[in-house]
Amino acid sequence: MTRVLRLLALRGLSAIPTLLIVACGAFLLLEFAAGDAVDAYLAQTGGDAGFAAELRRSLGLGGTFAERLAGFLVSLATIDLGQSVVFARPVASVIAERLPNTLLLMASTTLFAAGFGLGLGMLAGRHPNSFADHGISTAALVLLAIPNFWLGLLLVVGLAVSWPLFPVAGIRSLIGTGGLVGALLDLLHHLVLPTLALGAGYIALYLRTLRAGMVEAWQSDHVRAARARGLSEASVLRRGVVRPALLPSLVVAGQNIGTLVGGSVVVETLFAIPGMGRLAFEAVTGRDTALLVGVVMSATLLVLVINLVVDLAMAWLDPRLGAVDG
Amino acid sequence: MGDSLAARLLGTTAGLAGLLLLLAVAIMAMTAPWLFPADPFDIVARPLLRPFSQIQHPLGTDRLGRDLLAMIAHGTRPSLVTALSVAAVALGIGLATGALAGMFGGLVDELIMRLADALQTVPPFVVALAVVSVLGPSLPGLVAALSLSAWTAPARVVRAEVMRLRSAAFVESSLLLGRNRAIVALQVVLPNAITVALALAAVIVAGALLSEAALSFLGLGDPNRPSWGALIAEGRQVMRTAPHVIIAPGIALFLTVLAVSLVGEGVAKALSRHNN
Repeated sequence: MTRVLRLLALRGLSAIPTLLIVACGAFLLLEFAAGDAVDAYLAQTGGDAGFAAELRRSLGLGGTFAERLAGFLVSLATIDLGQSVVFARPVASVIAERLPNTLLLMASTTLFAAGFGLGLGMLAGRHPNSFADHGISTAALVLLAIPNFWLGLLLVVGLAVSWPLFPVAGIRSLIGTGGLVGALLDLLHHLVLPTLALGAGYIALYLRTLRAGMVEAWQSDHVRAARARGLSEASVLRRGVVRPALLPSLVVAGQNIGTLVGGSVVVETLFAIPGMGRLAFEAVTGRDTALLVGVVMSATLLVLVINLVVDLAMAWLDPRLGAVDG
Repeated sequence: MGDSLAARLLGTTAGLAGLLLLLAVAIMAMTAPWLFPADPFDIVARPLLRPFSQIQHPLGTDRLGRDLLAMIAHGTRPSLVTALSVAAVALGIGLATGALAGMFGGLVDELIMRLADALQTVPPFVVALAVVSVLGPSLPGLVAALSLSAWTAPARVVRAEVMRLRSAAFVESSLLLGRNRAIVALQVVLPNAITVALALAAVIVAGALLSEAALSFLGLGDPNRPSWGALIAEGRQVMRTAPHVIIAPGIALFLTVLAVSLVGEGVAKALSRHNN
C-alpha cells in the first residue's frame, strides 16, 4: 500500500510544473487573442470607455503583465474559469456539463480499439512472418492512415443515410424510448458510428504493441518452462504470453489519451455530440477565449488524471513498480 | 552510410512501395500548375458530374461545377508544404533542445524536459486549435500550431542518444582537449543522433498531414488555397447524392499519409538491419 501511495505522491508532484507551464501558455493565449472578456461583454450590453475601464479594474484585467498573470493563476487555482461569452454562463459549469459525453466516447473508443487490437495482435503474433501476420500488419498501416473525420463521413453515408442502421448525429434520441434499459440502448446506438470513426486508428496501435509483446513472450524462457511442465497450450497462452504482453498495451492507452481527446474534437463536431471536444471547436468559432482556455486547462487535467489511473493500474498489475526507492 | 541506407530502404517492400507512391504524390504536387493551368476554383462544367463520365473531368465536379481533379491536384502542394515544414521545424527544435538537454544536463535539462512534459500533456490537436485561433490560418500559423507539440518526441530521443554518446570515448577525448561543450555537441554528438531523430520524421509528417486536413475540415485552414480537408467539408452538403465529392479528396489524403507511413516503416526496418 505504501508503494502505491508513494507512486501517487510522486506523480502528483510531477504534475505541478506541467499544470503551471500549461497555465502560463493559456494566459499567453488570452493576452494575444484580439479583445478581452470586457470587450466581449460590452459587445452584448454596450457601454462607454469609462465603464469599460471600471469593469476591467473590477475583473483584475488592468495592471501590469505580472499582475494579470498572478490574477489569472489565482482564479485558476480556485477553479474560477470565468464567464463564457457564447453560453453566457460560467465556463466551469459548461465544461462540467459536457465532460461526461466525452468520457463516454473515450471509454467506448478505448474498449473497442483495445478489444479488436488485442485480438488481432494475438493472431498476428502467434506465427510471426506468416501470411496472417503480414496481412494484419499491413491492415494496421492502412488503419493508421485513414483520416478519422473522413471515415466518420463514409460511415454516415453508408450506415446512417443510405442504409439507416444508426443515427446520423447526437448522443441520445429526443423522444425517450422508455425505461433505463431503453435509454442505455439508445445511448449505445448513438455511440456506434463515432466510436468506429475515432477508434479505427487505435486498433492499429494496440495490435502492434500486443504483436510485438507476444512474439517476444513466445520465445521467452518461462514459456518454454511452462511447456516443459506439461501445461496445456491454452494456459501457456493465457499466463505466459497474454499477461506479460498486456502491460505495454496499458502504456499505449496512457500515452494516447491526449490524441484521443484531440480526435474527439473532430468526431464530436462531426457527429454533433455535445462533449468537451465540440466545446473546443465552439469556443474557437465563437471567439470565446475564456471558454477555450477553460477547455485547454480541463483537457490537460483530464490527461493527467487518466495517466495517474493508468499508473496505478500498472502498479497493481506489476508489483515491481514503485517498489524500490519510488 | 547514406548510400547503403538508401539501398536498404529500397530493398524493403514497404519502403519501395511508399517511395513510389510518394513520388507519384510529389509529381502531382509539382505538375498541378501545368496540368491544370486555370484557377481550380473556376466553374467549368455542370454541377455534380459523376466521376469517369467526361474525359475532360475524370473525377467529376463538385456542387458548383468545379473540376474535382484540378482542385485535388492543386491541394497537394499546400498539404505537403505544411507537413514537411512542420517536420523540419519540429526536428530542428527537437535536435537543438535535445542536444542541449543531453549535453549540459542539470538546470538546462530540467527546464527543457519540463516544457516537453507540459506540451506532451496538453492534447496536441487542442493546442493546434488554440494557436491557429490566435495566429490565424496562414501557413506560418499552421506550421507553428502543429510544431508546438511535435518537437517533443525528437527532443526526447536525441537527448537519450546524446546522453549515451556523452560518455563515449571520442566525445570525452574532445572534451578533455578543452573544447567547448556546445561545439562538441554540435560537431560530434549531433550527427550521430540525427539518424535516430530521422526515424521519427515520417511519424511527424503523417501526423501533420492528418491534423492539417482536420483543421481545414473544421474550417480553420487557409481559405485561399484549395485543401483536401476543406474539399471534404464542402462535400458534406451533397455527400448523400454525390458521395464522390468526399471520397475523391479523402483517397488523395489517405494515399499520401499511407505513402509517408510506408516510407517510415521502411526506414525503421532498414535502420534496424543497418545496426545489426
